[in-house]
Amino acid sequence: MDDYRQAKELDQYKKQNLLWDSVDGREAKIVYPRKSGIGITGVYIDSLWTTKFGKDRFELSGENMKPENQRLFLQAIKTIKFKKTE
Amino acid sequence: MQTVLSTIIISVFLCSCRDRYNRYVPTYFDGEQFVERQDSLTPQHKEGIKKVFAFYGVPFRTDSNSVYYRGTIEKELLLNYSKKAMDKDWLATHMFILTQTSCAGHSQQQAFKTLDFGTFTIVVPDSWRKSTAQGIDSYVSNIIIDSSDTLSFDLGHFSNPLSERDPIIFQGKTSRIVDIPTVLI
Repeated sequence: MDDYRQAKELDQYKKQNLLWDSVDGREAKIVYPRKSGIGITGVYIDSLWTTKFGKDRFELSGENMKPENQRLFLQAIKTIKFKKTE
Repeated sequence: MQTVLSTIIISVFLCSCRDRYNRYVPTYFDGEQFVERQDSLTPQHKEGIKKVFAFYGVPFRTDSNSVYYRGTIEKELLLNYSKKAMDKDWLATHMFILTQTSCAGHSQQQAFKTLDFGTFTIVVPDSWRKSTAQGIDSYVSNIIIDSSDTLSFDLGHFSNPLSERDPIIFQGKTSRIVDIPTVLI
């Protein structure tokens, strides 16, 4: 089986959709269930800023959310604003 | 007295700038500076930028020739919007959220508030509330939506990247599929 077909076959068993976007000017990974109500809805940012201990990451998510709450949450993700505190 | 008058005038000026509609001009970067090209506003670009503005919640209006957005947008952000307006993949993948967030008209009547967690703020429906949690080496907390749904966040070095494992497919005489996607690494 070639790579394309294999990737396609694997993909059909996944529960999450994934997209890349920016949140407050940072690259963000947004996931949401392919079937509303089953799976994780959330946002992950791999690098917010760097501290003396290393890179700070951010993750905000909910699991098996009701479709209406999922919709509101996806809307709210776009309003996130970060501020570095010491 | 003069100070008060000056403050009022400046406030009125700032408010008027914030509420004014500006004509959108496709913006590009030629390697040295931002370049505006009105001739690039094709019907396809126009449809794209309307979707981009809707996605990011930028108030806009249109007429037969142009698209106008409210307030001011920095050149760098306009460049970002212009690229997305012509990016078929971006438009296709974001249609889901766009339709999800714009289809329910009743949500526009809903009251919203800003939750402040110190390191970040988020605008959520008025009924959502903060809840505390204890993290070991990171900042964690919850947002309670209702009796069944809760959001949790983790800000630190080891936040969950929300990656989904590939399912493992066994092939052979007794082919079967082990479904692992419920486990997130």
